[in-house]
Amino acid sequence: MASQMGFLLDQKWCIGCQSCVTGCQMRHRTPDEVQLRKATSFEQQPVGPWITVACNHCADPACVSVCPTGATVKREDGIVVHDPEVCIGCQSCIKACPYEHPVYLEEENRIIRCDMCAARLDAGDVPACVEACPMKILTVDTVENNEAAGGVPEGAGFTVESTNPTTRFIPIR
Amino acid sequence: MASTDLKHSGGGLSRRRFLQGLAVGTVAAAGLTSCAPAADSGDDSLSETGEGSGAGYQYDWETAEGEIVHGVCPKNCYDTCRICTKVVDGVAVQIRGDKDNPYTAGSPCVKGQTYLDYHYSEDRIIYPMKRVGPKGPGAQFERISWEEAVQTVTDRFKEIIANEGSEAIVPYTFSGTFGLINGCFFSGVLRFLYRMGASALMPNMCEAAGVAALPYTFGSQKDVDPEQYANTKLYVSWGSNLSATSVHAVKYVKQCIENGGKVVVVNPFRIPLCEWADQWIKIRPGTDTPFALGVVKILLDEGIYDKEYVEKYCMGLDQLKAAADLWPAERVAKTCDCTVEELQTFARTYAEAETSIIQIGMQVNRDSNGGSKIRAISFLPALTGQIGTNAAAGFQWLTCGYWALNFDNVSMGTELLGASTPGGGYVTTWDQIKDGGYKYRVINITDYADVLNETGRYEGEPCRAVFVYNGNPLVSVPNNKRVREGLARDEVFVVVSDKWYTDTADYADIILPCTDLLETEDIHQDYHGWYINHNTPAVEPAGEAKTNIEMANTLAKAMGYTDPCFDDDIPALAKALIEGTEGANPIYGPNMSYETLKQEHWRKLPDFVPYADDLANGFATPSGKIEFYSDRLKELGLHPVVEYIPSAESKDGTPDLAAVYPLNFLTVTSKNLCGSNWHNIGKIRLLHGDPYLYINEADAAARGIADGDAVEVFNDRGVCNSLTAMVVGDDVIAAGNVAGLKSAWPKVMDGKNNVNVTTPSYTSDYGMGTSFQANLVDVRKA
Repeated sequence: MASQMGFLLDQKWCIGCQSCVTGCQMRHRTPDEVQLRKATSFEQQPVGPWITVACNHCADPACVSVCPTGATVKREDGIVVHDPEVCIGCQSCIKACPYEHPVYLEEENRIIRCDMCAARLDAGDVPACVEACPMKILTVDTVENNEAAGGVPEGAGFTVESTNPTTRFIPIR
Repeated sequence: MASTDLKHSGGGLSRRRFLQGLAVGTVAAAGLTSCAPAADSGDDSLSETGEGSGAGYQYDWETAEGEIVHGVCPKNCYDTCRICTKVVDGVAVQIRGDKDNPYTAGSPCVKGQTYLDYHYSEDRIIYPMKRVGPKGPGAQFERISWEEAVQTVTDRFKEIIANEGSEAIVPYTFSGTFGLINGCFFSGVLRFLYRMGASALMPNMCEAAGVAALPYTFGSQKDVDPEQYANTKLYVSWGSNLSATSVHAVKYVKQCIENGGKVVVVNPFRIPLCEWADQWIKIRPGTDTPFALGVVKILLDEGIYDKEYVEKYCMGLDQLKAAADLWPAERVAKTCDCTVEELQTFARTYAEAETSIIQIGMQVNRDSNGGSKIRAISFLPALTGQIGTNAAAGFQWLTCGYWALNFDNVSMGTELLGASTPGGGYVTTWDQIKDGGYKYRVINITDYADVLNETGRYEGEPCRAVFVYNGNPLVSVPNNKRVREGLARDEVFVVVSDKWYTDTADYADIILPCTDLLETEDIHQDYHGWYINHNTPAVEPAGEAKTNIEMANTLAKAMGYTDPCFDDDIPALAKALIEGTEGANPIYGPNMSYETLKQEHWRKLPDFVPYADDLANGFATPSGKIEFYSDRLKELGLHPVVEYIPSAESKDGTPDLAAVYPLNFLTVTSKNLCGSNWHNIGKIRLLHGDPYLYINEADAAARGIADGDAVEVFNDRGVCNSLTAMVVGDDVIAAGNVAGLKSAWPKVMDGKNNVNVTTPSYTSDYGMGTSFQANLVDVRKA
């Protein structure tokens, strides 16, 4: 088993600019109202801390176990990916996820999700959200490395539910 | 791409889903199968394919062979993102930041990320249009040919010139593209306007007061490189919010802190930097001058300034001392709504810092006393020896001091207008304009409402046509209700060049479609970072859109002007801009030329310490020193040092008005908008949501306003009815002040007014700039 990949947010420096949100939307060509990454805004919430979250690529992903068609699967490196051609739009994954993650696309009767831009990672590139971060404080690496960098499972505005999420937050100090 | 002949633009813009259109339309036409996600193998047991299998959404446009075109975000923004557009068979499929550029570093902002939505929006105007039916919200337009549009416009212009005179043709331009050829300040469109004898517009929306003020102190304007924020010991954010306006610079503030530096924020309204700041002082809007003079007094009284430096490089210390002695700490505290301790802590922290940078925000100077404020702040780095001594010391206002280009070659003001383009802070007073040798009437953005209505300074001066390009005055200009009234006048013929059916375009008789960033070659220079950039067009213009230069040349020829300058294309203008007749300015480094820049895409100015040359050779002031006392200011009738003249609307300046309208209304920039750009783009509009009025709990309680209530912000100029109350504590804004995000489009807010129906048209003390911040209001529940 390869090491589990995960997001790392150095939360002290997140300024609530939401570039990660639209960076993600543009790569996945989402409809305007569909956000696979959600972030708080310093204009909607003038006092920090701010936070950005997408799929947590959980170690025990509920979305994978409930998927009746095998459309949602977990890769060897722990990234949860989704095959839109196999998806039947049953939304079981949305109901099972404690973090309200996959999003249903009504017109296409399927879901769409964060896959950590796995295809870009495989090509030696970085996820769209990571690239979009002007502060350079949203990154991806193995959970091992993210914890060595000071990352912990919970952040301000993010509490661990079941399913062992792999997102890590460097606490605000 | 939509090509409807009759376009309805009223009642809010429909949310277009162009991306789907792109997927099945343009991309399919480009020979790609689909933009829809597709697992590469079609194998439904992806988990068996293991790490590095490629499983995950892989989009055809990502794997397709394409060309990468280097460009620049052309908006009126400090940062000027370097971008790379991937083009596949003539279609732009991806826009990413240029990772090689250290400053914007591969990360366009929340808005810039959405440029493909913007470019391919079905809302774009791509054909000339004429209005059918009445002016105003809900206006209807019908497609016409360029030939008919040009004929209509030039026939009317000729008629106006014959009857009322050429100056009755009034341009409006600001922002849109900030390209130095197609843009607003010195652009090639001005050749056409000056040749026609139209009124000459001072584009003084933004920075005029500060640009005018700084040379009286230093002789020239030389700002630090924002990449040096990382290396300074004290970073002062004064009336600025980089997180909204220059998001790429914030990482250098982070690095400053990580390197052991301190951060101080001076701002009446909370900004993200307050999370990290060692000190945040909420001075009352309009009172920066007494605060700065209070700091000066402490530095002088306590002897904590650089005496040797001041002795050697500065003049007028005695007069500065006399001006500062008027501001003992207790008086400052009372005037600025801060405490004596806050002032003293600031002064001592500033004095102690081995190196410091004050980054001054634009809102500081958008006030009737804006130039005085910038001048007062400018004394601080001089007293502490921060000028010319270190690359990470001094001030950052904006780097237009390094725009060493031949603007007059592009606008041809000297030849056609009698003097170079007026305004922008390069002229300080109206008297200088009157003596300036301009062949045609000079008008100003600041009191543009008066221009349109032939009132105030412009009483008796006819306005019969308005020519709008790169601009949306009905959103951005102060005293906006009167701007609307002016555009609505039956006798005023309105031409709008735009990409969108803006609120302004609803008043157009003729709309001319213009190109966007992916279609327009131009030269851009940052006004925060130290870069000059070339934008290479990535795709062919949509529909019949023309660049501003093509538009201006077409109109000039139809007016009958045979001057050879109207045959110049953008490359010719770019060459004239950069190289002139003598070659590029050495500030740009070796071998700079149009062709070199085109190949390199962007180039940073070679490193130097701002003002180090001036320390060695003398400052460009009359005395050759940093001038605390300026005879030139005295000659213009201004205080030779600086004095506190309260804002044109303020508790100190207009107590009677303040009794009726007791709240200072700060109208601040949103991170989601640049000028008025992007409010019509779906993803951004949804992120932006309903704009808030940030109001202190004490002010809210006194008015029976609860969090989430719709409110009206009002004064004698108008009622802004588009804001929702966010009731906050002293940790966001102090009682007595309210803040609202500026530049929202009424037509995407059900026709509700934005903040600018309340903002005033006062002209700033230096440079004839705007006074958005001199704005007293009251608030009531809607």
